[in-house]
Amino acid sequence: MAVTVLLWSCGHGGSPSNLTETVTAYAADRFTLEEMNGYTKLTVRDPWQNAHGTELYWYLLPHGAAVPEGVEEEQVIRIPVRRIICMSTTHLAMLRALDATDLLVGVSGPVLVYDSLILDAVSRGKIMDVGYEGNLNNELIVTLKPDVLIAYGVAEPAAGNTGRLPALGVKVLYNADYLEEHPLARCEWIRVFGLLTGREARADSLFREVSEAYLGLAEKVRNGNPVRPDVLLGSPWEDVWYVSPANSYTGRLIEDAGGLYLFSDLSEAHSVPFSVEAVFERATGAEIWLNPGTAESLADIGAADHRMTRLPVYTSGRVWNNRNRMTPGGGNDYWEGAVVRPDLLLMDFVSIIHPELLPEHRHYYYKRLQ
Amino acid sequence: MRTENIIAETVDLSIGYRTRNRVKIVMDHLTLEARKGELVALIGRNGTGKSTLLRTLVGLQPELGGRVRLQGMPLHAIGSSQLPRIVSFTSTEPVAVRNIRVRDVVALGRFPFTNWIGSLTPDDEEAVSEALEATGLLTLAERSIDNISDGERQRTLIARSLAQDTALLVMDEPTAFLDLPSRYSIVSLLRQLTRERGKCVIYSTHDLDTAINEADRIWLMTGEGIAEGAPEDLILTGTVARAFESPQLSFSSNTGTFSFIRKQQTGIALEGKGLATRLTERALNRCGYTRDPQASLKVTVNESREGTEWVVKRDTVTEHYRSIYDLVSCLAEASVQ
Amino acid sequence: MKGRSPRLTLTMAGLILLVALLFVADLLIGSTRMDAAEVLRSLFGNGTPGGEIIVTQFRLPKAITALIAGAAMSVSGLLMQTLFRNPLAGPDVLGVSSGAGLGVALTVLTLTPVFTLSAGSAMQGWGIILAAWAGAGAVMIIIMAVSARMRDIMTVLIIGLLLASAISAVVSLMQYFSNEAMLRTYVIWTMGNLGNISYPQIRALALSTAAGLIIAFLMVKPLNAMLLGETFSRTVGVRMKRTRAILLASASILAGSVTAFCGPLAFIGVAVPHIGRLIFGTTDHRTLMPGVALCGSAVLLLSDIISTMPGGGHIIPVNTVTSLTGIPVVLWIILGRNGIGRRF
Repeated sequence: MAVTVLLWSCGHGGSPSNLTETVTAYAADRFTLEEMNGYTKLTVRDPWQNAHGTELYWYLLPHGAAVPEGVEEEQVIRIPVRRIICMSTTHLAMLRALDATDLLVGVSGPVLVYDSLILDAVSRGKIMDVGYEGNLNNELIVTLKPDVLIAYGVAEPAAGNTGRLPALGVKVLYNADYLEEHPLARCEWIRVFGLLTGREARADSLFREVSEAYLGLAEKVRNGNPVRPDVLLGSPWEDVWYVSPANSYTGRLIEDAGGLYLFSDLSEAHSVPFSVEAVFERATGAEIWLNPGTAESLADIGAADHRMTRLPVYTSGRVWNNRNRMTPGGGNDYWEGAVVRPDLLLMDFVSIIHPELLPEHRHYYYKRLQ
Repeated sequence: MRTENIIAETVDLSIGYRTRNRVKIVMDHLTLEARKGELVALIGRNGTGKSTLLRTLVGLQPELGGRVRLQGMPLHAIGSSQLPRIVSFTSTEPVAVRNIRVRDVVALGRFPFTNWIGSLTPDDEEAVSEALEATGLLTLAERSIDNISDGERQRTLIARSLAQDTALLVMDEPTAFLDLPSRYSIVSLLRQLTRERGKCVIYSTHDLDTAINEADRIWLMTGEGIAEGAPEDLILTGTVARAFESPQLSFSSNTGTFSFIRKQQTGIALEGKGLATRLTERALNRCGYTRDPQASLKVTVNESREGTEWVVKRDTVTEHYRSIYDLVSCLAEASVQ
Repeated sequence: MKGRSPRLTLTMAGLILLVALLFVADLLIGSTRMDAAEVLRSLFGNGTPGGEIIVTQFRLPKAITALIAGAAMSVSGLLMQTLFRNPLAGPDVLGVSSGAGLGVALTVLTLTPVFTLSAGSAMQGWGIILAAWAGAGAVMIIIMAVSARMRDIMTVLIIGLLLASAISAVVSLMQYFSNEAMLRTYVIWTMGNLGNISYPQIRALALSTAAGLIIAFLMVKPLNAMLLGETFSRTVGVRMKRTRAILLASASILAGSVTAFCGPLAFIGVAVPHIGRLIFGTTDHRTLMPGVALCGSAVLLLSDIISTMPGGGHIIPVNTVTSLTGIPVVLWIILGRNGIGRRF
């Protein structure tokens, strides 16, 4: 975190448009933007799980500009793009933040979208449903003629999935935002969208505001209260509890909000299955419980597993879940809008973990379970 | 003729199969009876419907017409708990179980009499022991049923029927798969059951010899129906002959046995007396020779203290042989030349 | 019972002792460190509050469930093997587990759950269980209806298998259209679980298991007759249609209840009856039924103990353990001395 602050203070106030100067991302480590002579080179790193050392390159050229030597046409995206397909709701949030949702021609899984205007456009047929990974409607995608399709990779693209699209002439940009571990890193991907949609200035300033707010609040917490309450995450699934790693997205938020994640000693990169008994033993020391699955009330937790009602944190009722902003269809703004407002998210966390620091704040993405 | 002695009877019975939409009648207008103390053998060529008849008698297959009566009562009126006390059935199904003692298999014959869990009373035990003794299985009683020979297994199934202590025992081919001595001993056992215990036994078999010799009554099933009567009656009327004779097979009413029909035979003169000569004649018949005192080929059987010798005289040549086999094979060689 | 040898009595007694020992071991061995004295103290209400919760809310329900479920599934398998005269038959042959799975799928995999129950009601926490029961019950009724119409028991077997396949296909389709959280919930349900069962639920499981076992034991006499074939059974006075219906009902109640509470437990129903036959050396159901029940309890208790073996809080799902122990047994049946199908 300290390194990031340093970098930020160096670049503060200026926009990175020097010729041939390499500008790394400030917080994100899965993309790099390089300003070249008349165009920008975007490098995306390890955009799917278990990728090691994979790098994908895109050349973002203005319309009409000549393709540089040695660059294939398939690697070129003409900016600003006019037609976008997005596979993830986080991408939609970024477009919304940039007021660029009118560029949207296709989404995947509209039922889980939170943004009501986008939902409306889908129902009116202005935006099409292109299907899920593994069952993509390739023909539809091709007829939509997108300038770019923003995808997220779970595994190395296979022929059956988005991997087939480049052969059909569709440019697939893998967005690694969900693999970023820090909330600010995830948010910074808005700068890629800014470039793509021709709204870089807007993206940069948004990112700047959010970063300042986030880092400022984190600083305030650090200087404020040294006592860090234990925080429990997740919920049991029958006999097993998948325990998140310490350096996960939520783990960082807990730490920045002045809490101590119950399994901060876990050094694994992925979530680990534990027996419920083992987690329970440790959880008896938790003071706060976050993200208990899909529970909307304390009774839901008890119904799923009666043993949880014996936890002190359950009895105290200090249980919150990120289901405060949801649509009837199951769309959750936590998985959508929160990606561009990590500062709001952090405020939610701080007011949960150290309410005395933000007494005025009304919970946005989180709600307390009754 | 006293009717209470009639254990099983059929009146104008039709037997066959009933599938979902069709009824196939294999045979109809069957009127038969079997009496107390009788051994009834059901014989007939393959596919005539012997199994179907037996299974209809015990209620495993429906009567498609007419009636079956057991101990005077119509079959369909006998309750399902009463029926097994009247008739027992042994089928051709092989027993494919392990780890169950012979004694326990026989004890299952007491099923209609035991309590809910199958415990045996002293009476039941006695019936089991008697059944084991009658079938000669006492020494094998503790062995597992998969650990004995086929013949012993067959006897076990019969013992099981015995233990059921019914007036009527119906058996579908109880002597199938058995060797000759076993076949005879089974039929002899059945004979004993009818004579000494007054049971009525109806069994189907392909074993015509024992059936003709031991059964009190024969039910002979042909394509047209069933002929019923004492074995000798059926031989006398030529029914047996008609049912089984074929271009290759002839039935001798005299001896009550079957023999192969031989083709054109060469004449041979045979001299000699006694068993060796009779057996020589049989061998010569088999090889296509018939006795003709005028024939130029002559065989003399000489029995002496040193052994038996066969002398063959053909025109001027004389040969000596020490066994019937040698005699016959050399004759065969000679005729080929 | 006359004829029961001292060897059998001894074996039965030894088995009872083994089950008791495994029960205690299952209480002593868990994912968290607790020394034996502490466990025993907790059982009698003298332990630390934390320890007491672990023992009474985690380990004791698990051990009791393993005890009951092991017996129920094994006897259900025994009934199926005798009824169908097939050494590879098990409770899942009827599609009862698949039916339970369908009920759960309808609850978990659809966006508008079919069986939601209001949280405040007394039935909270029973949603999935009731759905699974209903699914299993529906399949049981179908199978019994088929059995009443079909003469040949093999036809019933085939229809049961086809029904199971059809249901699996439908559930796969539902999985295809569901999101990650739902999928994970369903998949974890299929891994089997012995722990997440409350005491009222254990009571219900015990009751239905007792009912199933009693019905099954009342049928030992016709079961023994059926060993010698259907023809023999009929000619000796067994009412086949009625007997079949009762056996199917009993097996379905046993397997359906266990599956409703614990998810589909793999291989126990198929393998344990053979273990029982091996240990007791008899096919007489008067001995085999209680014997198999005890073996089943022992095997599932042992599987639960093994599932905590990785240590450090990690566990192996119970179905993995039962499969890994069950598969060698099934292989042994197939490759055994007399070969499959020749002798049963």
